Amino acid sequence: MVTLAKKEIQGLILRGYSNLPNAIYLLLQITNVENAKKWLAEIGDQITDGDTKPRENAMNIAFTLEGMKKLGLSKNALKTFSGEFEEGMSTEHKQLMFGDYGKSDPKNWAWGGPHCPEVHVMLMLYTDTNERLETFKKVVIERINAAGITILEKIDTCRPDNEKEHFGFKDGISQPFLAELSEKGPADDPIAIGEFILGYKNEYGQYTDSPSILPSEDPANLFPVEPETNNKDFGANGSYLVFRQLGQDVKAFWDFAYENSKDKNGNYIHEEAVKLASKMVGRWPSGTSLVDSPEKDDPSMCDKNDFLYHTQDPQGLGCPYGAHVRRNHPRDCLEGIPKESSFITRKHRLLRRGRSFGAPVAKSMNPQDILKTNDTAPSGARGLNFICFNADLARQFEFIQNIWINNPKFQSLTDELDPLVANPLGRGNNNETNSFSIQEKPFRKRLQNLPMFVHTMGGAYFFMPSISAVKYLAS
Amino acid sequence: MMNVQDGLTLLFDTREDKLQDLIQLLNKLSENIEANDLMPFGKMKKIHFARWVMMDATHDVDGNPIPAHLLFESDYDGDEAEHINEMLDVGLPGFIKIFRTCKGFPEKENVTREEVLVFINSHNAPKTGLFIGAWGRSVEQIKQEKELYYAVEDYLDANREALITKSPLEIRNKVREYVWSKDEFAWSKVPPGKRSFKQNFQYYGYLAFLVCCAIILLPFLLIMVITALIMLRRREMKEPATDHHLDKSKVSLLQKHEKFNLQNQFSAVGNIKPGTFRLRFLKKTLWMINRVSRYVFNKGKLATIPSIHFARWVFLDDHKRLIFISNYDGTSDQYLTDFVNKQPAPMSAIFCHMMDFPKTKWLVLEGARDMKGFVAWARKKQIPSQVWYSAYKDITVKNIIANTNVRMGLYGSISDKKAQQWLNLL
Repeated sequence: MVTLAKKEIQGLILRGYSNLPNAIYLLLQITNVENAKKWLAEIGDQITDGDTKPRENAMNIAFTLEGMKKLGLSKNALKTFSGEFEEGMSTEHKQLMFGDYGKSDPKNWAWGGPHCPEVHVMLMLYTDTNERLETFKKVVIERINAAGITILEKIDTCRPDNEKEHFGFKDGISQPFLAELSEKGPADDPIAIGEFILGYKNEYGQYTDSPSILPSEDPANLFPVEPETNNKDFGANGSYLVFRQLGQDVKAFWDFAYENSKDKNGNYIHEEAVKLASKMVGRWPSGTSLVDSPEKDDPSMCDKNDFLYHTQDPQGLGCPYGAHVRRNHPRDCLEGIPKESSFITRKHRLLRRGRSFGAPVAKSMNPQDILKTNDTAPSGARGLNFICFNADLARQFEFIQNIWINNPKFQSLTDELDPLVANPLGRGNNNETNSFSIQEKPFRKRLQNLPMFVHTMGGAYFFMPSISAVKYLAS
Repeated sequence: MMNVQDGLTLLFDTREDKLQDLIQLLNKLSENIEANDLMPFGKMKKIHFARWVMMDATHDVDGNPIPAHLLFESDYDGDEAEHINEMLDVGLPGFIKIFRTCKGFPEKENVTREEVLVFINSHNAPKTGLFIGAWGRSVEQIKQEKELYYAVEDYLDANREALITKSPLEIRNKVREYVWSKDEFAWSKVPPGKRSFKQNFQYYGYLAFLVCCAIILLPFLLIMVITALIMLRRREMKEPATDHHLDKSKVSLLQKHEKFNLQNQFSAVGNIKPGTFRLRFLKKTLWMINRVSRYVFNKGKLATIPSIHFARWVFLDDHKRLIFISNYDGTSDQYLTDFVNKQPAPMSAIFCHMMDFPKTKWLVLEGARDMKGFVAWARKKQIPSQVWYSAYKDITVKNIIANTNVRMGLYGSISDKKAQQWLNLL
């Protein structure tokens, strides 16, 4: 375990701010650089660090590559950011990786797409009460306007009391265990902190490549020295932030579940619909894993997260091979070699910090109520602001998207994508069918032609720098 | 008789004055790889994978110039001469056009097929290390078994209601009845060719010979290995630490060639470290790989790596350089990560004899375990393929193996338990 420079690391990286349920993200574009720098210097002092737990409000800030360029970060420094960051999220190559076709095509994005105005900064505000958010927002926005900065988007969030996402499943259960952030925590093998924060050793015992500046560019001596290059480690205590705004078509999801679980007379059977939906997710609505409770939901185990797939459910009879959570975090089940699999999956973890947006279809988030509700909200009215941190975009976020979620040949499967979040158009070539197998005795049940339940509405890669680096950008 | 697969590598020197012609030609091939009029790979039924790779002029370790090359490689079924003949049957005009950009090809208007054949044979690089994922299966078999697999899956879907109440064995028999009633699957009534008596004799005879030699020579081999390791260690200690710098723009260029994501190609070439010791060590290692992949790793996995269709190592330029050529499932990013995560020791043992490889310790320690160093090295040595052909772009090695297993479940009488295991494949 290493000592973290918690005063240097922005608070959101170390905390999910669950005590601050109200939040808004502001996407900003800088026009007047000088004013923007002044503004940044002012708010720089108010950025929440990771040292103290905020009780009333918190503010964090992240920048796109274009944003840092606009603020005058030198050319050679900009070149030291990772290639994936530089390329961004909306190129043809990335479309292929993420399955952003059709409705999810970056051309149709509300922000971050090739036809959208350039995003430079994201300011993230969190508060305990809704009233406080209104006041906080007002003050912050006034100052943004005064500095002549354009607000491109105000992205609202919601955090339901039951911690469920819009489909009605408890979310955010499985986070990597970080010894540095835990007061006691399970005796489980912690993941190296360098997987999520630059400047610390990663799972390979190495320092992930970090953006740097020349020693001459750091007269105030703000940054540590990178041993290999003798440059100053601008990225230390920072992290790459992935933001994808995902629309969720809740009605389509539950309609599909009910339609595909009818009895012989064509009647809906509520329990069967919930079971089918849970098979696609890999957890029951309460959060309990299908591995621990294969037949029905058992909320008493909803926080139990130490289960294994290959060891407990090698044939996928509880949790199907292709279920969303089994694909996204396969634990011990890769290639049927548990030890090697656990070793490998540690290298592909994400620190998730996203929140939902939009009003739930039914407040209870109960499938029966969802089915009964006449939902008139347009597509994209609700979904998930998927936000995560990682040190290596290629090995972590992009790997999971490309090699696990969007891979029609994941493990022993054929022509199946993630049944919940993948785009059924796959990689854009129409020769792939999109099916989902549920392993059963004597043989699997196979659902065909899954519709699109989740689509991409916007997205970008950001860098969340250390507190010192924010000040450096303001200078 | 069991099908035999092998790899062909041809190496030519390119003419500087014809470089643009060559680039244009290869681009043209690449645009319609299956059915262009020069060299329609889709019509070459014996080819699993093929590629044309342009290699820039460079220098050997002593600074002597190495000319620019054009490399052709193919992974094929059966006899080499028949394979070359099949390529010339449908691709002769293409070969002639390409060879006109190479040194040593007859500079006259009408070149005969025999002259082309002679040119090919005189540029055939000797075979060295070879790994095959789906051992023994011909292109035809792989394609047929894929269709069979889909037909079985569709049959299960269409008849789910009727089948679900039956026992596993009854279901399997129903499936078989259905499949064998179809003319297009008549071929599947006969199991795939097994090793003939002669093949078996050669296969096991050679194994027995190897085992006998190993036993008899054991003390001698042990001394040899220990001595070699000590000699190696002395060299390792003197070597400088290697660079971790990853060339981002090159990676993005290489990734532009990866358009399919399900399967991709990898070629990496580099100088072998100076001195005869390293070369001799490498030769012995590749000799071992050939034997080990034939007798141990012959079920789809190179140790625990399940994604390689074909991988080959070939010496170039009078054994001064080594090229590694492979066809695999997934992206190059995943491929390289797999090497480090799953099998760093064998990777080090093979590649540590090449220049710039991350420093090893006792042959297999450190080396490829240095994630950053290994990836930086591999990307530095990697070169793009201008033309790349796969006979079955949408099937992985795991699919191929599973599809054969589905077919094999059709034969003979099996127990209910076995029938259930068979159904679990679907």
